[in-house]
Amino acid sequence: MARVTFPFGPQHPVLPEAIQLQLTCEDERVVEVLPVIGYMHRGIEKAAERNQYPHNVFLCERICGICSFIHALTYCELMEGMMRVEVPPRAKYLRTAWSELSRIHSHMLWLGLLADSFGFESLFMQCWRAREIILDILEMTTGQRVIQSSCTIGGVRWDIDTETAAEVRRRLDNFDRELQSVRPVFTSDYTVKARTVGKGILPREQAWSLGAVGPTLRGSGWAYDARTLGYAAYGELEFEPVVENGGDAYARMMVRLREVGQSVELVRQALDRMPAGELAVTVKRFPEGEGNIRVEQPRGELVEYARGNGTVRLERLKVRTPTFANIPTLLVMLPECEVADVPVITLSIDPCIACTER
Amino acid sequence: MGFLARARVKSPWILHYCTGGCNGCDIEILACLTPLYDVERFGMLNIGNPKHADVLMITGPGNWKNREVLQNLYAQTPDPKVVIAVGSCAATGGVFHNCDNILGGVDQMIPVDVYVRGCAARPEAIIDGVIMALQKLERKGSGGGRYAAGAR
Amino acid sequence: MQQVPVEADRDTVVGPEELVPAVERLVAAGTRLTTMVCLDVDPEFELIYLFQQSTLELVRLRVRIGKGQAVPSISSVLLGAALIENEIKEFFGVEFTDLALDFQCRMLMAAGSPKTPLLKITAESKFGGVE
Ligand code: SF4
Repeated sequence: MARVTFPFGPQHPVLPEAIQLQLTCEDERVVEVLPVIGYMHRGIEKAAERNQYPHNVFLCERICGICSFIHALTYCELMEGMMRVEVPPRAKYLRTAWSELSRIHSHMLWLGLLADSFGFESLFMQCWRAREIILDILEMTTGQRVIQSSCTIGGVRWDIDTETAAEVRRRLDNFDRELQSVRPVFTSDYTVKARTVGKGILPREQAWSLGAVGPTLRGSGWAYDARTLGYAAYGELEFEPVVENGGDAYARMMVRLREVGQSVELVRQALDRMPAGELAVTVKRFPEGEGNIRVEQPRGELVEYARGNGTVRLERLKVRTPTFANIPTLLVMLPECEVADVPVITLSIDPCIACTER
Repeated sequence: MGFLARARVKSPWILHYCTGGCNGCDIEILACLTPLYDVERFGMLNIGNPKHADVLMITGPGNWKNREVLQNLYAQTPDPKVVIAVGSCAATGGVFHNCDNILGGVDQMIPVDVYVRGCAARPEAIIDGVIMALQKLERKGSGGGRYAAGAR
Repeated sequence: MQQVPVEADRDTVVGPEELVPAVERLVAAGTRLTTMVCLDVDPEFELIYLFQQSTLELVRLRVRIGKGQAVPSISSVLLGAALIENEIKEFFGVEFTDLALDFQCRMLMAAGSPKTPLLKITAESKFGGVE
């Protein structure tokens, strides 16, 4: 059987973003993959050196629009750590609440896209309808749907007062109901199982050595969640990393599905325990020395490294995004699969190309 | 107006391509398709093939690698067509104006008909933009000479 | 776990020739590569390899090389490093020997993109220095 190489992407119906996979196939079986990236590369790391450091919050937020809040949070926490600024406790809790809301909206988005990738149109619509509730909460509390700009160096910019918090809780209950109605479809529907169980297996050992992070790693049985490192207010909240042992697309889906429930719980906890007080402190210093930070994004662990020289501009800002770490796992998961499974397996690592290429 | 021209305006097919923005606008475009905003009530359909499309929706500032892909997509879309640049960074480069690898705005690569403002553009604004684009498409399709400004 | 400041006691400074054995030792001990950072500290490059232990602690390897000097690639030990090394090669023009997967500076950049954008531009490098 002759080998055929064909491109998958950069413009493809199931991919909302531009990435190309060059698939070499024998018949319907994939034998080799080569990811071709760079279609979304902007050069943010250089721009971060050109901008003044407070302005980088807005730039970092736009590394990726889906986990925008967490990108801003990471950069802010990094700068605060380098300048030894103590953030007011209320701001920490607000940051936690918003990060978890972002995580819910990102996971619901992904669950919908997964359903769409195997043609389950109505499930896609259901997930996105539920997601709108979360976007409404974000809009209600920060004023924007996807790019919130509510995190700033030294604290946060907006408050969630008692009335709003009550409303947020009420809407979260609504969301919970919606979630309960889609959950059984993901866990037990015949189509979903047929398309995900046993597809794209990532063995436990390889998941670690290839550098997988986030749900991709946790789906292969590793209980590693960067939130346990205790940034923002996570050190004071109760949660356990979600772990599944299957290592296939179904396990990764289950990790995300269970994390949605966990995040709803975390938002409630954060709102309940939020102390009163200041929202932000004024920062009158310049970053100096080196710092690195790890934060858990919906897609996995985000690592940032920065070096400052005591001026208003940074020497270097390096962002290692979760998808960059997860792309090598595709080289293990894709070979030997059917061409029809390529979209599902590619999506199962939740690729965020805008993140990867910055 | 001929039958084809009317059909085109009543049910425009949209091709969405991201040239390197942050994704914020892409997910808002997708949100337009889902139950809350539901652009299908205007007959709009999101499709994956440029050869079937009437409306190109582009998000993000162009970069060097994307330029050819985008120009290809533009060439493959049959006339008459309209191009919508969604988001501030698709209009001018926006927040990425001083990044190295970008060309600054979709209009540096292909002609653009409608700009939708916002970073991220709201779904309402995107729907508005599409309606404006349809007015342009109507004028282009009915062969009414060069379309003028005015549909901005 | 205070995350941000970089504690010097977890850093190891190695020369380019000891790099691969050092990485092999770390990998054998169950550590994995998190990322690599390259910095342009004129007149040298500083490469920082961030490794993660299974206890989630970070350890670092630091390598300093002169401009124009090649670094041995660690992609033979860790395939995932190839992507990062390609990126550094594109951004800084650092040469890696024995790259497992070489995109020839076309991984993120296209033919028309600016070359080695992350180098610091000093008066010297602009007018005929190392570029
Ligand atoms: S306009 Fe803003 S939100 Fe939209 S893609 Fe560009 S940077 Fe992202």
